[in-house]
Amino acid sequence: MRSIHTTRAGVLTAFALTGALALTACGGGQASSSDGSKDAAAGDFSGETLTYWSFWQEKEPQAKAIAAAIDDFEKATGAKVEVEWQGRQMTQKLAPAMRSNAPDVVEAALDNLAPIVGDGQGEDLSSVFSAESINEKTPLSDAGVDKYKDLVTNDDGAAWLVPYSVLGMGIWYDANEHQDLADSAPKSLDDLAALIKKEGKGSVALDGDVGFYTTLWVESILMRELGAEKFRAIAEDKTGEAWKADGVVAALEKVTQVVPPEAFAPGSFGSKFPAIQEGWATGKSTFLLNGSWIPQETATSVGKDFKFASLEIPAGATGEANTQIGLTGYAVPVKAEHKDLAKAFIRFVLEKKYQEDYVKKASALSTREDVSVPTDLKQLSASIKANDPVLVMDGVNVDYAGIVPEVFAAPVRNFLSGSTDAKGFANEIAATQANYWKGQN
Amino acid sequence: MSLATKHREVPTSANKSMTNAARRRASATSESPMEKRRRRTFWPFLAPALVAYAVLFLGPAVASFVISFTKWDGIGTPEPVGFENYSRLLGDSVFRQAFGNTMVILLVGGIAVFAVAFALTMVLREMRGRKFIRNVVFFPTIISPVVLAILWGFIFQSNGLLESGLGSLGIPKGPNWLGEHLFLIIIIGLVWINLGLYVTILMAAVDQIPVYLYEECALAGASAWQRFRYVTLPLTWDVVTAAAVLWTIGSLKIFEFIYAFGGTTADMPPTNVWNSALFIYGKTFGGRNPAFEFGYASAAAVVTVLAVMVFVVVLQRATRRDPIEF
Repeated sequence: MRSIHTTRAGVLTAFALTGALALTACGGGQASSSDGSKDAAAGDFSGETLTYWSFWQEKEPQAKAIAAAIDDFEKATGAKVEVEWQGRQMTQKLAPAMRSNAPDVVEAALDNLAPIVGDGQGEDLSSVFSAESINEKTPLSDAGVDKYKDLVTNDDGAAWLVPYSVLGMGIWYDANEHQDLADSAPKSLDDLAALIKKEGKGSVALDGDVGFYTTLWVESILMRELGAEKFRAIAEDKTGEAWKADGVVAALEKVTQVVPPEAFAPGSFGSKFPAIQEGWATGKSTFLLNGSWIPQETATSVGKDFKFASLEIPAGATGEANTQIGLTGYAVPVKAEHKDLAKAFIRFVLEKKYQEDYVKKASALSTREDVSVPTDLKQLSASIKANDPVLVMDGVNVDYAGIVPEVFAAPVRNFLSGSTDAKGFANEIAATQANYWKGQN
Repeated sequence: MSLATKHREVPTSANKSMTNAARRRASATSESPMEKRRRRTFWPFLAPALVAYAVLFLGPAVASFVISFTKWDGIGTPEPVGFENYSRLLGDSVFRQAFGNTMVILLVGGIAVFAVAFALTMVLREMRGRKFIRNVVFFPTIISPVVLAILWGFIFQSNGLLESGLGSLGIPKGPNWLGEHLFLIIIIGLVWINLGLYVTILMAAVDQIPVYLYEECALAGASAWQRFRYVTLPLTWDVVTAAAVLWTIGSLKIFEFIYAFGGTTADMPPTNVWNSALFIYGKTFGGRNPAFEFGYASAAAVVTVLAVMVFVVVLQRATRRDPIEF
């Protein structure tokens, strides 16, 4: 997707085209909305069928929670929901379907959906944020979901995603083993460097074959040292020369101060995911920088006394902690047949009752602020509530497909493993970035 | 002088064309009722397969060629861009590396496959229980490359089976296989996976060589290399060239093993081990955040196919020999 935050003149033509397409495609839908759209809160949809593609698999707890909401929605509205639990490959099937056979509702992570639906191919769902639901007579904005609206609004002003789950990033550890850490959490990057050093060599787990995970360390520290928008500006530099600026190299040197090569667990750069993560879960290392899905993903590997807790990466030179998040939510393709029904469904699933159920079954964070927070995620939730969230990598991985594997992954891996120093890294990534941008038009 | 020379019967091209012309004339003048009926049923029998082939293979191939001249995300309307995708490919270091890797797999992998396959064939030819060994060697060919890729991950990763095995023998830790030598391991893996097929093909050809030729070799005191050079290779040449074309085309389509071995559950392998097939996937559906650049990926596919077609033609011309009958 190239619309969110994007100011590149080169894409204006594309926007004009996709905008024109969207307007053409939406024309009928909007007319029907104003003329005779059904009232979502009234729940009058008997006889209609909603097609829904989910990126969860049926056996996953998330799917079980949503399936329960679907049953209630069918009873409340008389509509039928034809759900396809497609799993993570859903977005691959979605692209060809968008031309002629688009489902009414699609659900996936923001960065998965953005390239397909975010660029003018998604219905503007702003109205869902302010809509009442069948069992809930208050708008979603009252529950704090508006907090994420800017992050899902494209340059046309359309909020194309309604996020229901927020994913946070933190440095995970076993609170049972390190009971003092919650009260003595590092306040600065220097504190964090000292803490990691104190824990000793190999205390930081990292599956170095996952470009997204390796990049997290570099971009998190750069965002705190230079500021969020600055990281985006560096990544958007067509020549890549921005990486070589003195201030940036100094910030990169901070990365090696916080996590020098010897800090990473043995094998971090020569293993297959999830070997190192599993090693962390079984106590081979202390820290793991990763997402809020970790307690669930490693639940069967950790010992019975393991107590999940997380530290946020503290503020750097800018003084900002920059709480980085990801989002999972619903979108409606512009070619969907039942847009009103789709909006009513999305609003229904985001009712407090169903979000409580989702949070409980999936051990995840809801975008609603009035639902419970799983114990394991309390620190992350507090951090998200306390700050204005920014997207992980400042959303450059959302806006620019392929930037992580083609630009970041190899140089970052070489950098963190100690094969290159800060200057060497800057040179290497400048070359991969220049090559990447040469192909973008 | 070749020991097989006395068994040669080399028809000249003039003889061949005369024979064919004579056959055609005979066919036209004395066509039997059965042949007439057979001729009438030619198209009805051929048409379904031809239609299926045209729709499922030729159609998409032609469409890819046309799409390669457009910018298309697979959803909107393709936008003609002329040769822009092709000029972009030339300047794209990721594609250049992927194309280079394809060629390395084709050439280095191919030479390794045929060298090892011939070596095994020569060893197995005189061995007891060779059918059993042949089946064992063939085994990786019938297993899904994805399964083998997972197995290889366990073997070569840090603290994996190889490192643990060597460690238990007191041999110090080796290099970082997956971190620093991933492409080398991939090539070795591809050779291993494909070896069985080519051993089987070559052994089938070698089995057709009369034993007395080898007996003559033994009487003449020929070494193993001389037996290979003057008997085995000339008498299996047609099969070797056909197998080489098979490998060339097959190597172009290698995908699963590199994808599963080099990548993770959600990520593509690092770009330095991509081949053309992975590049095409990476520019369309691959990765956490797919690029959906169908025009650009199609251009990459066209370039790769053309390059391999040229390679196959050159290979066929370079390996053309008069057939040897024995």
